[in-house]
Amino acid sequence: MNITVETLPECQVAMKVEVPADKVSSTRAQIVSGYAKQVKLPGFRPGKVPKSVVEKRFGDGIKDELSKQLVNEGCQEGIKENTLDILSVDTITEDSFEEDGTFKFTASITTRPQFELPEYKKLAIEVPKVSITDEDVDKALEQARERFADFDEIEDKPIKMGHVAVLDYTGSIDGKPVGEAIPKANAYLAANKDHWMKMGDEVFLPGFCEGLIGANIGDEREVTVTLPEEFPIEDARGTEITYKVTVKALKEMTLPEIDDDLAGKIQPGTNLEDLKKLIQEDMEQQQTTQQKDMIVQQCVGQLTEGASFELPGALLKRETQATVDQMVARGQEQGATEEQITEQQEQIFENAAIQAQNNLKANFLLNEIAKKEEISVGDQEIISVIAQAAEKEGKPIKKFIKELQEKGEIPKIREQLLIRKVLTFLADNADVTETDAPKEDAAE
Amino acid sequence: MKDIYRVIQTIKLTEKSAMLQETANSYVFKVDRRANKLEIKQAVETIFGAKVASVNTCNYLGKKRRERRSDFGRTPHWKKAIVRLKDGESIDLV
Repeated sequence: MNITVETLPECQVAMKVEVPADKVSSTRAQIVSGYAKQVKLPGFRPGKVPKSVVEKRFGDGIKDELSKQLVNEGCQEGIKENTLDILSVDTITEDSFEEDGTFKFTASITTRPQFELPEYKKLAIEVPKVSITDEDVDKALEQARERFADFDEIEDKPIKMGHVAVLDYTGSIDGKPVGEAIPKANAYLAANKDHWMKMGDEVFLPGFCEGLIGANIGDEREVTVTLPEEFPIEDARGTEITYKVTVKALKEMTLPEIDDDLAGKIQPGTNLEDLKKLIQEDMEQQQTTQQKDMIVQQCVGQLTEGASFELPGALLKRETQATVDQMVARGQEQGATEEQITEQQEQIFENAAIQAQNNLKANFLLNEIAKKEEISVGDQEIISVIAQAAEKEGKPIKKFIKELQEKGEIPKIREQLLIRKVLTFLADNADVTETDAPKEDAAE
Repeated sequence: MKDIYRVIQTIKLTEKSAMLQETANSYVFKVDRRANKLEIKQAVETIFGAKVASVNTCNYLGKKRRERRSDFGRTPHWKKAIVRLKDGESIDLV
């Protein structure tokens, strides 16, 4: 075979292959005899159809298969000869049977990017310490207490701080509905019905609750608030919104005592001491997982920063598209309308491109590390993971595996497992220093 | 036969006919029962444009077909024609 390889930017390789005539004809003969053994034609016993008839009858099919097989073999040989580390064979172009019996084609191939691994052991990482104080536990208890609070109707008293009011409200800016004036705003900013609101200083918008103090049930009031400086939508900061509020009902919240009774309600069969311990353990665990996540994130961050290489363009494009889709789906889940999404399209694309680039880069790096450290995923591990997933879905394992195979998911699972393993490896080998971070960060 | 385009009904493509094709340059047709050898020759020459050397024919009686009853019907009687072409001539059948 006559193979020429041309290296293009963005990890692309164009490989021109010329298959000699005798190779073509021998492959063709092979395919025809394969056909002759299998085809059923009326008038012929199975397997007794003459090759000449087969060739005439199934000429197109044979030609297709021939070119497919030749391309396959040609690519394989080309890759082997030139020791290309390929990711995928993208397109086959200019494939044609020449008059002298040879077969020519050009394959464009995406190769794995070549790069030097940055230092990946002993990455210096700082994470906040895991620390749970009694205060944290008390705070959690307080929150739990609010969940079990009783609400008593109040009928003859005006609103006071600490009450819970049931409100209808519609907001407007200079007479225009909020939805029109600030299209990016969430629905609850514009209007709401039968909304339970606990009166407090920092609830909803600053000044909203203060404006309602003293109102009675059935009262209508107008409250004007200014959107604070830290409001998430930048353009809207400092805008004045006038709300028309109707007070529908008023309730007083009575909190239950923190005692063994409450503990039993929150977690059946426990007393207060147990519950406190439980909460402590829970929070510790949560923070530990958070800490681990942070370590992994920082590891990956440092790695991607430390390495720079060209990424395959086609792959990057695909990954970007997938990320965009994800982002849009997430946005829709959170209630963004289509108009909002089209408005932010550019921004979404920009973000997605950056994210996709980082993801891909990290992926390549981690795979390379796996190769270097000889981290691999055994069949046993995959099976155990699949078994767990099957149990979750409530399907028999064998059937589940078959489904996965049909969808071609198993290599993906293997990849995921491998990456997870490499990440654990990185985290284990990282140089982690615990810092006394400010409390709020740790608790959130 | 008035219309020579009605003479040839179909081409028989079987193991035997394939063998005949290769060894004797002969082609096998199912033809109208009323057609004679001359008409068959004419038909093959006009339709396929190949020179005919000789035509052999044979009549086949339809097979008996019955369904659980003692009396039977028949599949149609038919005529087979084995047409030998002159050397160097051929018909593309497929």
